[in-house]
Amino acid sequence: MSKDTKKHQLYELEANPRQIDFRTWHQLFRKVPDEMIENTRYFRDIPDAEWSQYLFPPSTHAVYGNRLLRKLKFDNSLASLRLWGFVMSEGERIYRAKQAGKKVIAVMGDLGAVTPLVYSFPNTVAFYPDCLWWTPFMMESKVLFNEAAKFGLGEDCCFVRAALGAYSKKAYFPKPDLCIGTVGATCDDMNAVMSEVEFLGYDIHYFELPHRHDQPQDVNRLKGFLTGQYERLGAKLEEVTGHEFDQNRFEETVSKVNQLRGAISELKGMLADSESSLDSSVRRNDVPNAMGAIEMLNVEFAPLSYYGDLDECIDVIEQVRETVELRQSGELGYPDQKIRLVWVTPPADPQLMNYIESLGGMIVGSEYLINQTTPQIIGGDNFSESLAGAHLNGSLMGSMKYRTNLVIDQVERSRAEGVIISGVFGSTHCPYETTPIVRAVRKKGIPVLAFDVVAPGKVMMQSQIYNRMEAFMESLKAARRYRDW
Amino acid sequence: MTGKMNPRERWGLLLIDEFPDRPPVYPLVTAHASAVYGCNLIKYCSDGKVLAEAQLAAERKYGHEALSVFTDVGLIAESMGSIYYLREFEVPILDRPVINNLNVIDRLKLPDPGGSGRLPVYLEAIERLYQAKGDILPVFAFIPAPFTTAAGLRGMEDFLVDTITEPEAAHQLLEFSLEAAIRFCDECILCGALPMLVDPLASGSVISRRTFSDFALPYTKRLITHLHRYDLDITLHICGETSSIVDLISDTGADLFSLDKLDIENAMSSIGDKVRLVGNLAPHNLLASSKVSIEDSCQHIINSGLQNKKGFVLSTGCEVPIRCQPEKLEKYIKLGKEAKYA
Repeated sequence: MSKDTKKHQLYELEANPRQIDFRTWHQLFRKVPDEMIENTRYFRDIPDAEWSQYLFPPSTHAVYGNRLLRKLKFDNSLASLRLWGFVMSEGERIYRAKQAGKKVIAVMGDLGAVTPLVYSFPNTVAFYPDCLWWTPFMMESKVLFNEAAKFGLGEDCCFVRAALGAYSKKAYFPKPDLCIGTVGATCDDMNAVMSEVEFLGYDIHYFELPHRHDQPQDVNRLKGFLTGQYERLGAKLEEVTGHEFDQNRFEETVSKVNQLRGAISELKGMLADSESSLDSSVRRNDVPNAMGAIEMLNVEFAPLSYYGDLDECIDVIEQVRETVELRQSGELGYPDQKIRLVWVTPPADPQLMNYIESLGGMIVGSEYLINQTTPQIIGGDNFSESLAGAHLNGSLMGSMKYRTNLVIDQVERSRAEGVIISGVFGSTHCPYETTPIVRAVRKKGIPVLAFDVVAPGKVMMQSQIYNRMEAFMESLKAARRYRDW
Repeated sequence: MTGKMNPRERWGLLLIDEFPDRPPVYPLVTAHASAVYGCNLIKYCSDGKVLAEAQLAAERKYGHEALSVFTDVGLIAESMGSIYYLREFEVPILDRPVINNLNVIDRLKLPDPGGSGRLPVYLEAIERLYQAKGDILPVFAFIPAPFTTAAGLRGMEDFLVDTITEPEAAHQLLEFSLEAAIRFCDECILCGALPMLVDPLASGSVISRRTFSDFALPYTKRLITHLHRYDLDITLHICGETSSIVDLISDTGADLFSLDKLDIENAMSSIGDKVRLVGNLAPHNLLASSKVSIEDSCQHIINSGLQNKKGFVLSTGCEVPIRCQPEKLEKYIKLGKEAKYA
């Protein structure tokens, strides 16, 4: 992208950051220069691909059935517009990849850690079918859940069962050249999905995750085990892509992945550290929220598959980071979002995040069970060892205590005033982990709200969650008034 | 045991150059829905709730694969002041055009989609249909293209004379019509519908190739360019004979061309590598009086359409007749749903 275009990208369409609805974005979009729309493309290695533009407003995606977009609030920056366009175009992008002759690899389960290896092979992209759990919420539809139910995966299974529905319907992504799935210390629900996917006739390369006891002596033994898993996978990818593993290309990819992970980590840090130091004698100095929670959720999920295009993904995330940096330097942000919260476990229903923001909350920290995708990968001569080392940070493969500590770290670092845990009914890890996390956080004097996200269409149940959120936020505001007084 | 695609999924694949399990089956069930629902056309054309309920009733009966919000091609012209006569058993017709004198063009006001004429009827219908079925069925809002709207503002014959004797005034009217269409399209999009441009008066049965090139095409193209800015896939429907202009259709930028009295193979050889084709059973074949075999005519269209490089939607050449024979339409849809890509 030219320097001029880059400069353009940073300007704000409106003077002040705010959250706007799809209708306002539709009108604001008129102000986006044509040149910028034309130049914002994925797969830049494919020249003259008219279909690769993706800078479009939420109304575009709403017309094609993503009905929830008509109810959400979006950040009003160009960076946010681009991020949403990039995320919402992933499905088409995977099809276009296949049409353009690229190999398409599905990474299922607690992966994302293997994605750098996938992208180290030429002309190869990854996607993360588990993320299809968003689709029923985005479309306000039961189609994919009903399809999964035909295979026996009903409401007692996590929302990731939507991925099974998508595999069955063959209309959400092209047939992958390879499916990689986790077994072992991983999500049981996704395991059930994977075995049904295999039953449908898809070949799956299983990648075993060991259980980590979080003792120092674990590290070498488990790293050795994971190294073996990576070696097997490398050989499989060589077979599928028809290319030999190339160390130089791997290092190049790792360098990009580290850049992406670094940008996300920095971005999270900027929001976590956004509070000015407490003025010890009197009141806190509130720094306004510089980016929406759903946008940040999209950012944090990027390292799972890079939404199908690593290079473009880096640019998209960097632009968000630069926007937040610019806003924070000018002390700009959304008005009236001041209560600092950490969100634990990603909500399949993004509307919940908007709702907490509308009540005055700002998400300053998160633990989304994707820690295997966050650390910097330390290079070396052996790709398997490099990736195995980073993989050992995974939240689900470790002890409950490890995950609880991750949450506590987030709370302390961001000086959060409350924690929200959005569980998934039926998901195996949620009931076992929620209670210990709640206890540990409360022990620190921090209030917690824990609930299960409800499936789309269950309006009565959702309204109960809204009620609980309102009460929770009222109590946090009261606590703050008391402290300040 | 793999699942069947639903219409939304099928259309979704078609629009990204994938071949779904079979082509979508989308006869243009518009005013015929009022017959299925059992209401008169005045009600259908002037009450968004009735329009939506009628569309849903028709979809329940036939199982076709998109919903159509359409009353008449005068909708935008009426919202700018032309008077249309609503009738119980037929679609509205132009009664009195607003521009009876070219000197008053300047006085035209752009419509307010939320309040002018029957535009709110459309928006209410779209909103209701999108809420009811938007996750599994696309909703198409039929938008009169600028040429057709300009003719509705001026009166067809006068407007055609203007294109020869007062071309500047004709262009001025077209500019107004274009701006009104853009405004209305935007509102339809925000309610959840994909605009489908209908330009019956730009038909080769009505105007020459030159008139189409000079007066219809440029404004249709600008409207489509506006919609493409939002990455929307746009269908252009032109009624009647279009063999004299078919090669120009791709110049409009249309992503899909809904053809009427044109052999589908002609369309394929002319623009089939650039545009998806939507067509084109002759609507009168669906009348009880027709002796034409639905099987034979449908099979020819399907066999050809399946070969189209850019994809194909099985449809009717124009609106399904209000008093069509339901059994014929059912048979036609059934045949369409049995079609398969090799």
